[in-house]
Amino acid sequence: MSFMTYLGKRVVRMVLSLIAVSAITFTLLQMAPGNFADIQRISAGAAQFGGAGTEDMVHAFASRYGDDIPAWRQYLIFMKGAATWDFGPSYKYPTQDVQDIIAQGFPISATIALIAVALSLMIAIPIGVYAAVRQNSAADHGTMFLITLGTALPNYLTGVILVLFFTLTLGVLPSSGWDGPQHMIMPVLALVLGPTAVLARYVRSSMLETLREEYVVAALAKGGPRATVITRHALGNSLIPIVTVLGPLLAALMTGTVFVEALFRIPGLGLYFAQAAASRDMPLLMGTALFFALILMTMNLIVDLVYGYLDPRIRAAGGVNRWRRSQKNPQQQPA
Amino acid sequence: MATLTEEPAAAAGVTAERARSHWSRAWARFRANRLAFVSLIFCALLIVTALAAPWIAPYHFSETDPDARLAPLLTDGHLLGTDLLGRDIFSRLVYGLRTALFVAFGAELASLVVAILIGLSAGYIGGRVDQGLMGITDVMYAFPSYIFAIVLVTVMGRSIWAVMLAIGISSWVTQARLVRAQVLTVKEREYVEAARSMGASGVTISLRYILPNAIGPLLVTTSFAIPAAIGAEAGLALLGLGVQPPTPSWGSMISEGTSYILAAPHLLFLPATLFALTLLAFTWVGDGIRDAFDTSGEDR
Amino acid sequence: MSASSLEVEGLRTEFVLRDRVLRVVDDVSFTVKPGRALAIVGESGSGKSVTMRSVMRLLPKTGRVAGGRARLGGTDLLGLSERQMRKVRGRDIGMVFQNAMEALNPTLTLERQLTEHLLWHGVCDRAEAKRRAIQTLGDVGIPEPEQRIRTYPFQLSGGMRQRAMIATAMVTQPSVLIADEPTTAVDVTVQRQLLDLLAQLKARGTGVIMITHDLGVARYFCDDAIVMYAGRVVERGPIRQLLERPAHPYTAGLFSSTLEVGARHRPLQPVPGAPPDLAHRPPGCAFHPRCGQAEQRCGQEEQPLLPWSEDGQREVACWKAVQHV
Ligand SMILES: Nc1ncnc2c1ncn2[C@@H]1O[C@H](COP(=O)(O)OP(=O)(O)OP(=O)(O)O)[C@@H](O)[C@H]1O
Ligand code: SF4
Ligand SMILES: [Mg+2]
Repeated sequence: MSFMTYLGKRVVRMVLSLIAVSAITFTLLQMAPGNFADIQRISAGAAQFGGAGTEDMVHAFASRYGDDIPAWRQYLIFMKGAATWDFGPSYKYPTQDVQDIIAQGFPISATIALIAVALSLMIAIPIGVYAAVRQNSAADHGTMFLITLGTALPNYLTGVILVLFFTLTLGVLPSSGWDGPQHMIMPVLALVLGPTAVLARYVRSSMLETLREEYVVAALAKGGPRATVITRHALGNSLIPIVTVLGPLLAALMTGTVFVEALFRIPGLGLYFAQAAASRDMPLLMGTALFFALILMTMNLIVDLVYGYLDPRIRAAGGVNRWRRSQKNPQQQPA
Repeated sequence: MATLTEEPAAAAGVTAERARSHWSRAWARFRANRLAFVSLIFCALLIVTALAAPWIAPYHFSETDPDARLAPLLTDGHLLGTDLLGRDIFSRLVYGLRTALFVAFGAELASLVVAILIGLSAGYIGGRVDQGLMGITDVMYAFPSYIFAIVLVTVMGRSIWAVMLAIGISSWVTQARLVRAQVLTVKEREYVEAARSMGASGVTISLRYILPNAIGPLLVTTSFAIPAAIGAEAGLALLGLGVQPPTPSWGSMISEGTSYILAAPHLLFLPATLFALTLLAFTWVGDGIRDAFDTSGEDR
Repeated sequence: MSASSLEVEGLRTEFVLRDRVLRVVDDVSFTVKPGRALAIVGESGSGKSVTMRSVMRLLPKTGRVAGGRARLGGTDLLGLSERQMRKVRGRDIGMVFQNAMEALNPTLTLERQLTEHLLWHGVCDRAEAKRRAIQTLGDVGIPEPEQRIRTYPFQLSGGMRQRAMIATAMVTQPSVLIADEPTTAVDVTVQRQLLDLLAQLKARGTGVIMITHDLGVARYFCDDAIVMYAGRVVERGPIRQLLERPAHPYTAGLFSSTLEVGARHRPLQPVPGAPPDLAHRPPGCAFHPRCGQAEQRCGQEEQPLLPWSEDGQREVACWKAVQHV
């Protein structure tokens, strides 16, 4: 299978999954009780919002999608808009189109998530390798403890602990807002712990596995210095499979920003998504949910491609999936 | 004929016996792990507290004390102080625990049932059914689970049942795959063949022979799913999408606490600490269960 | 490299496990002279690989050498610092592993794997290393070595891979080559070619230690042999004499079963019963629970290696065998 065929197949599958996700979301939201106007009236009081404005918006939505036409046609209209990157105006922020809100919020979320990933890689690889090389030492047990913390504590809880420590005890770092680098530190730190734990666990176990490989012993038997053998022979091969967790991890981080942004009141995509859900802002909710799914799938695709590039065996086989399959059931591999 | 009918029964006896010693060995290993054992006791205490909440909490969670708003720690009558509305923090923590555990266990039970149903039928029936069901899990897999849960609460509303279902429905995929894989490996074993040749029905075979083998791995994944579900419940509440107030949730308590961080830091500190301890305890129990069932001996 | 002998004397290796210490190699001695080949035979788990890893000082963390000497040209390897030992590995002693698929790094090119130790040992510069690597690949019979050197191990056939593995060990021209079942994973024709290759090496003065399950291979290629059972040497001598007249009942069982037609590749499983669990080594002669000739005495007295032939070339650890001389 040539690379292009492979890529094509993956993209087609991705588009199909996106359609499925959008259909599920749309159908579910159709069944949702209460609309934006109701929610606003309940939560803010009719006086403040004045029935008229919100009713207008719902009418605008109706005129966009057609109130009187069947749901499947509404869905088609929505998808037609989505395909041309036009989700229409948001309810809650009626002066803005959903795609503009995404364009505004996404860079903020992406910045936080990418810095968090980069930091986690920088922390997780060295400690994972060190823990593996010193298996069962105090350093190894310390790393395992850190890993448990990272997997057990959700990022917003880490965020709360950071706030308690930095803002309350030390009196440094603002606990909310988005205005300069000092606002970035705590959200990023809150996000870092989880991915660091996941990555460190993978690096450690992958490294332990690789260190047991015969080629590592063979390299030592050729007189290789331990450090060289670990970095040149073991580390490279241990890190290749790490790439596969990076995709899901980045996606988890993107959705993780929902909580961190809510906690620190950062105007990123996650916060908009959460607000859209709370206020039944259907266009914004649909748009952001679909965008999150798109990000997740793109990440997975990119990661698979990078994985294929990094491992010469897969590069030669011409496709990650074929390789994966053959790895899983070696006996079924055609001779 | 008599000997023939005995065969599957005997095979089942053997597996049952093997299973029993397998379990007792796992339990012995678990008990030897001090951290896991202590955590288990802590978790048991939490569960008892949650069940007995009305008797343990001195006040109802929505009972307000207008004379004591934002009362500090160790106030007379309010050991852990009160919140902005004068509600007793200790009582709300206890009821919050009840919410968290009720949602988490309920959600995992729901997701386990769905996972077992889907995994069993996909694995056992195979063919089209398998492809269809696995297709569904593939799509679910592409959907970030938090996002899905949030969409679901938006749809189903904010009753405690809705939150439970939303978390359960968005987390069954991994377990369904696990059950299916187990079914596929066990399906071809001799005693299953024997039972089938005796005319045992698919349901009987699934319940008697296949499921018991899948319980170990399922227990491990479920024990990790519980703290994850506790975290999800609080997370939704933090976003204002959890159980409807005034029912207390640690997530909404944390969310409120952030607003009064300088005036009343204990509003944030207490739920956060209890929440962290609970998650760690459940995770350590999970670690213990995994290690108890893990015979691969990674650390040899 | 000037030719020098490897002399192992009284080697003892133990594994420290959680609740006990396992002695896996117990008082093993042998000598490999330049240009000679020694076969080490024995059932699975008898301690062959651990012996070689002890000499190379490449035991897993839980393993330790508890005694003995391993002299290479007069220097005791077991007393060297790790830094000095590194200079011996790959330069003075080369190692060929059983399965090249596993012993070659799948993600590095042959060039890298054939030249890196030349560079580590400072034998020559990169360009010269590459020239030597190509030369050696040609020597082991890999066609178009200039092109092949750029490929990855998985792109070679099984036989080619094993040749490449041997080439990595040969490229530094070591004085001793340790080959741990180098031909088990390949078919018979390739096996023959690999053995001829090793024979050339031997002719050039390299001492070869060959661990093997295959007595046909041992007879074809080796000069001397030691037979190991449960971590000890139970018989030693020139391979042909050993095959003609095995003295130890274990050796006899080993040979009779594997010399049957079509049994070449069967793992050694000469005598009914299984080798002992080293944690519960039978007292006296460890072989006695499986030995057809066992008598009461066998389970009571340790059996030291004693001379069996006039010229002292053969030794055996069985009182009955010694009595029958
Ligand atoms: N890391 C280890 N920890 C504990 N025991 C070990 C370890 N490695 C090897 N052993 C034990 O040492 C003994 C000798 O093993 P060794 O690998 O030397 O056998 P062998 O003769 O090479 O067998 P084979 O023919 O299968 O390669 C075995 O009983 C084995 O169980
Ligand atoms: S000493 Fe006894 S048991 Fe051991 S090999 Fe000789 S005869 Fe057999
Ligand atoms: Mg071996």
